[in-house]
Amino acid sequence: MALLEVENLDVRFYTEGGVVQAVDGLSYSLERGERLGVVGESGAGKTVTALALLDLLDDPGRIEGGSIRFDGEEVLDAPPERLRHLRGGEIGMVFQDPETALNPVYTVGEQVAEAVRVHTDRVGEAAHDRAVALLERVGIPDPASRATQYPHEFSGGMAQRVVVAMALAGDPALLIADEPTTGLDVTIEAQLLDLLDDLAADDLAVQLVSHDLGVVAGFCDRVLVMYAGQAIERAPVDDLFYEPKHPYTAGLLSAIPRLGDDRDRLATVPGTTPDLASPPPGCRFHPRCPYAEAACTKRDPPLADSGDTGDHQAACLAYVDDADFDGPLDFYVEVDGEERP
Amino acid sequence: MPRNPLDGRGRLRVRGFGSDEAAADAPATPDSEADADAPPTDRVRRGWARFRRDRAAVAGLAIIALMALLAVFARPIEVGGVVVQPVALAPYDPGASGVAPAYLPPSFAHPFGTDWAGRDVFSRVLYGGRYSLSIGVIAVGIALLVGVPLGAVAGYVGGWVDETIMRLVDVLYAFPFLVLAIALVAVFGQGFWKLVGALVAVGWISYARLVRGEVLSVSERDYVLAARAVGASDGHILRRHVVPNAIAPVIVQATLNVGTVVLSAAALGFLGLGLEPGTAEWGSMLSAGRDTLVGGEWWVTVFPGLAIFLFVLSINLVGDGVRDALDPDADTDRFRTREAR
Repeated sequence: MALLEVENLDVRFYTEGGVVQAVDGLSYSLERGERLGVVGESGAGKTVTALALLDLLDDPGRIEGGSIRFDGEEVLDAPPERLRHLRGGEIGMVFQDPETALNPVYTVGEQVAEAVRVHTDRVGEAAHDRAVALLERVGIPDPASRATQYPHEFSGGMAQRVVVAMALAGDPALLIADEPTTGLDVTIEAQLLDLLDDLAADDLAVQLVSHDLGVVAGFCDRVLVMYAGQAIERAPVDDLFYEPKHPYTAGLLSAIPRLGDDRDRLATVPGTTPDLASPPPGCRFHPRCPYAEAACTKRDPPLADSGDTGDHQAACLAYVDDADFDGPLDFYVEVDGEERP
Repeated sequence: MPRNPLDGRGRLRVRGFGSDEAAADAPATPDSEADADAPPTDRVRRGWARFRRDRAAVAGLAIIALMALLAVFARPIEVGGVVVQPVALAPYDPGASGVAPAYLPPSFAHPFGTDWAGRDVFSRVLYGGRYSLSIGVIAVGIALLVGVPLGAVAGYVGGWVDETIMRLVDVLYAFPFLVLAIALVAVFGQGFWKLVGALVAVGWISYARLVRGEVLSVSERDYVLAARAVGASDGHILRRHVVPNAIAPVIVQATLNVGTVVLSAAALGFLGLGLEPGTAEWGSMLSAGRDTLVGGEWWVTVFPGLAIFLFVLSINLVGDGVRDALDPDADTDRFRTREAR
């Protein structure tokens, strides 16, 4: 049994502009100790999915259907007490902006100790000691004296470590990191990814939400590509980068700038993400897809096996057998200085 | 196969500039000296440091402290027959009539003169501080105890709870402050606690409204979401994370309101609706002496009036000082600015 199983998750936001289908029939699973990357543009539903896992969505967002099973237990039916235990105790969460995720009026030691108190029997001095130990675990030098300082005395990278320490306080089996490195410069980002790497080595599963393909490539075992609230490609990390199957993934990969590039302009995926209050009919990507055909406007392709060896699925009509789709997807990945079979 | 598939794809590679592994495994270093140098400090201490720089506010605080001390030591205090405070600064019993002929002008024996009943005005003004100061502090304190929780719950819970509380506030707001207080005193009668009750009934609404607005904005902060994500309960989050961050403007408002409440108590006293007639309360003394202005016995009204003026002025100076001290924008945080001294 997988650690986390998400099935047909359906999240809607009831706004004045209409009902926004933020997550639409999303299914994926995550094994113990596995590292899953969730990538996609802004507004693809990555963060909403992450919040939904802990039932943290606020009005006007609502989970309208589907199931989220953690260790076989349904999260969406969980009573409030159980849910509070799941939050932090089983699933830890790291937020995008560490400076705002810490309360300015308490010392960082106190904030980590608070999370410790929620999930263990430790109180008072024992909780504080555990907090200091956690701060040391996440690589904060001189944790005992740093614990008495306030968040504004921490740099972004150090503050993000504190947020990670808070997430680890309940000894969770799954860590959801929602763009944990977005606000950090690259050296600090590398250090933080090292830390996550180190933590994941201890059988901690990590769901890394990111729009940075480089980070995902370096860190994850498997990748889920999201577009307009749907999963459009799901593959082991190497397969995804060497043999992308969905035109959108190919577009994303071609948009990565590289040293020594001889292109005059960066390739982009033309157009913008659709308005999710009124998504396009058929395949949601078809208005931006260079390979789109008439059939794409009519039928929304399911995630289908892409004919590749192993566990590689893409939601494109090209991989649906009975679809009226002719043209081949003729993109490919060129690897310099290395022949691949 | 390399761990990072993109590694093999770049055509330019810098070699020999340190190895990748060394860079990646380098231990996290403390972020900056500035972080380490900053002494541990908290909001209260920083606020006090700023408050002390404001000389007018400090002078106001000194005057208030002096008036409070004079009021406490004006006459001996007995609790259950035991004298707990034996000092008597006031030369005469403030209630005793006929200690001297009526309407004596200020003299060495009677610094503020005597009133129509031959009572010593100096003693009465000193003693009257007990009523005015305690009414101000107690009425504001109770109003805070009522208004802050109600406003916080309204803002945090929302929905019909919010509607119920805030519509009640709106209804009470529709009455002029003093008119409502007069009506309440007229209905419930005179007396110290009834007066306090009337002032609380009209005073809590401004705190409730202020706290609600602040709570609405603080609830959206990431650290509240982070606290939910570690499994803290709503009550805990409201008490520990939301209210402490929403309270600063309320403290400012409450400080300034002490003056308003003292003025209102004096106004009610002047209208004959405050404490029992003859009580040495500043407003009542003004009221009782108002006929004497025509007769030229100015000392009967001027000294209690001056006492009210001085107290309210001091409170306002202190309130301004508190606002400046708590306002994060007033004197930008020395930890974040280059102009840090």
